[in-house]
Amino acid sequence: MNLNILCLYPNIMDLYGDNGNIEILKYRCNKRNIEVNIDTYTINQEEPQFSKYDLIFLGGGSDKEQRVVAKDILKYKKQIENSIKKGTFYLLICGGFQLFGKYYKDSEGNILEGLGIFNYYTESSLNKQKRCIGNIIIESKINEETLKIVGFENHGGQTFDVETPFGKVIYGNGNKFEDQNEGIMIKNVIGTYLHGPLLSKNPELTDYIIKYCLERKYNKSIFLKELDDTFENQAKKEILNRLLTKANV
Amino acid sequence: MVFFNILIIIYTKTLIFILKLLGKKAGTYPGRIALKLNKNIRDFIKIKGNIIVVTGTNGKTTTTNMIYSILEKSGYKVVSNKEGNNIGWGITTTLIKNCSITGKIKCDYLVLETDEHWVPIIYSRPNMKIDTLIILNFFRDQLDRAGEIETLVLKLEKFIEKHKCKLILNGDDPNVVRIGLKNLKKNNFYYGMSKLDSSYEISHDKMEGIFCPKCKIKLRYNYYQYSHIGSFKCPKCGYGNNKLTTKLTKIENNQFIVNKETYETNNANLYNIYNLLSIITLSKIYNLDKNIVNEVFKTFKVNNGRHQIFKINNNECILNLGKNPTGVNVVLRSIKHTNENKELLIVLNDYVNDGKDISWIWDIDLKNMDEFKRVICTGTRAFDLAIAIKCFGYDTDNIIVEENIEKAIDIMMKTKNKKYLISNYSPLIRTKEYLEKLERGSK
Repeated sequence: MNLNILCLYPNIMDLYGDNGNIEILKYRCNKRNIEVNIDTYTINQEEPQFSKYDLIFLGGGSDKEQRVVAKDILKYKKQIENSIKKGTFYLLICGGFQLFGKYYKDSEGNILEGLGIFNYYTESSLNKQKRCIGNIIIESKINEETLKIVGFENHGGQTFDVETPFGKVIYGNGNKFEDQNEGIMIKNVIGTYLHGPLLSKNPELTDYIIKYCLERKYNKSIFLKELDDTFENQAKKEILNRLLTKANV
Repeated sequence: MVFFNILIIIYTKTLIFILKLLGKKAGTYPGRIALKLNKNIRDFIKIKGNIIVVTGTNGKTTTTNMIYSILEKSGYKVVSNKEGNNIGWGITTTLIKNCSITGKIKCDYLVLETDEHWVPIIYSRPNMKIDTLIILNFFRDQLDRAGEIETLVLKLEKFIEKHKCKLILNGDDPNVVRIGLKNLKKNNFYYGMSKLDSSYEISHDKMEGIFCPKCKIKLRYNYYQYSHIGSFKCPKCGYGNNKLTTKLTKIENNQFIVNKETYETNNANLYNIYNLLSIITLSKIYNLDKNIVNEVFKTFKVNNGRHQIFKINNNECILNLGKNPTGVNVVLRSIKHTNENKELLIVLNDYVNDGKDISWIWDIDLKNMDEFKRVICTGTRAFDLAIAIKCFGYDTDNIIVEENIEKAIDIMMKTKNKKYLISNYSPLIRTKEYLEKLERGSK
């Protein structure tokens, strides 16, 4: 079996170690003898065939970098929309999440048109110091199971009007300051502010994504061999213990 | 008001004295108290002497200490915050410690290491006019506390536009070169390196500042020295094509050639030699004796955990600071490919002064770690480290996780392998002090 992954703008949109997500996917696949092919696309390269991929990844960048990418990615709106309809999985972190909404207003007041795949929009405070920063815990329903997901958020943008959030905030901010909701999720798209990288301490989520991609591709149910997740579970426990005792939840 | 300020100074000086008696470092606390009593207390200080400021992400403390040594050996009276207390509180402490009760500092040079974000805050005041500002580099560091590099560069550009001074700039760092565009051209002094045997053409680090600040198009690199440091040029406007005042042409073992003169160092790591180039540039501006400069390069030692060597039970242990991907990569690159049995210990904490976000560890080049017999992860985020090392392909059986730093070091000491330790900011002193204790005990 194999998995084809496309990383969008990895040389530009790679703040906060988000490309680590790809390393984690690769690691968990390789341990199960699933071959992973990784292609990259960035500005001035030949148009990628979005529908060819099982998984497409887009991370975040600074305002300046986001401007450059926003201009380029709009060219592919149709192709991206089509591939989502066909079931390709999209993992979008931070700036990537924002670009899939209607628009993004940056901290200088410039408005960047988004892909408009979803109805949410994002606005930054003009005060650059006003950011949602810190460890975050959310609760998300993955495979009918409610899971705690941990990460680190760091965003100036406040995202409004998300219809189907990725999770409920247990500790931290979420889409806006002191919000109840975090990110967006439909069956084959997760958009989120969680860095860490996201998949590093949430192996169940990683496996959900792998399983989804394989089942879609091979059109049969897939059983993923269990891996030794001692480090992952300990790291997660460390954060949960620290924050949940603090918040007295 | 004058009387009140005098009282604050006397009070703060007394506080420093008492804290020192109690064996405390008194690096930031007294200044913090003074600022609480009068937030503009620094305005009361009058400085006679040239202010030299060292800023940038990596290398500030070492560079500041070397400049201090060189100036002192040259016979000047120098005041400096050598311990690296480089934000408002620490700098206020240094100023008050060294001024008279009426707030006067009489020296030839005031050499101040200053956090990048604090430069505009501290030196916009008329009594703190910078004579020369050295900018070493801008890397990703403690992002959640510091904000993005772009924000920082914009802040410094704005500052320089208003407060022009002599600038010593790393000409091989596109983020740093930008700052010079806002200054008087004749006051910019760039340093850099020509192509070396170790230079490479395709980057293998995470990149910052890859776009031309004027044309917004991608910069083209002829070669890289490390990270995003190298020879670059904007294909459209030529940005980056600066004339280097100080140009290194060759490194051989511990010797290197700059503008046809030979220098020697006891730490020939590339990032360290870049720091030395900034100092050579400074020495030319202030007419300092080359022999004194070279002597300091050859013999300089800081016992502050930057490339500090310990002998414990006949085993060599080398401790380095690594608080961002570039810092850790440079250290790793310098200890890899050595033909010896060795192991590695990494300390990772996530306290406020480390930056609470530790996801930068995924930007470290953690591939090909097999030559280490064991990798020991410690600190408050030891498990996060272990996950990253595992996912980049290192054998899980050889990863040891022990969150307690002293216990982790004890585990490390059980073998005869050579030991390398890398610590991020907040646990560095604790790690160093424990190694010093072991060193004393093993004699």
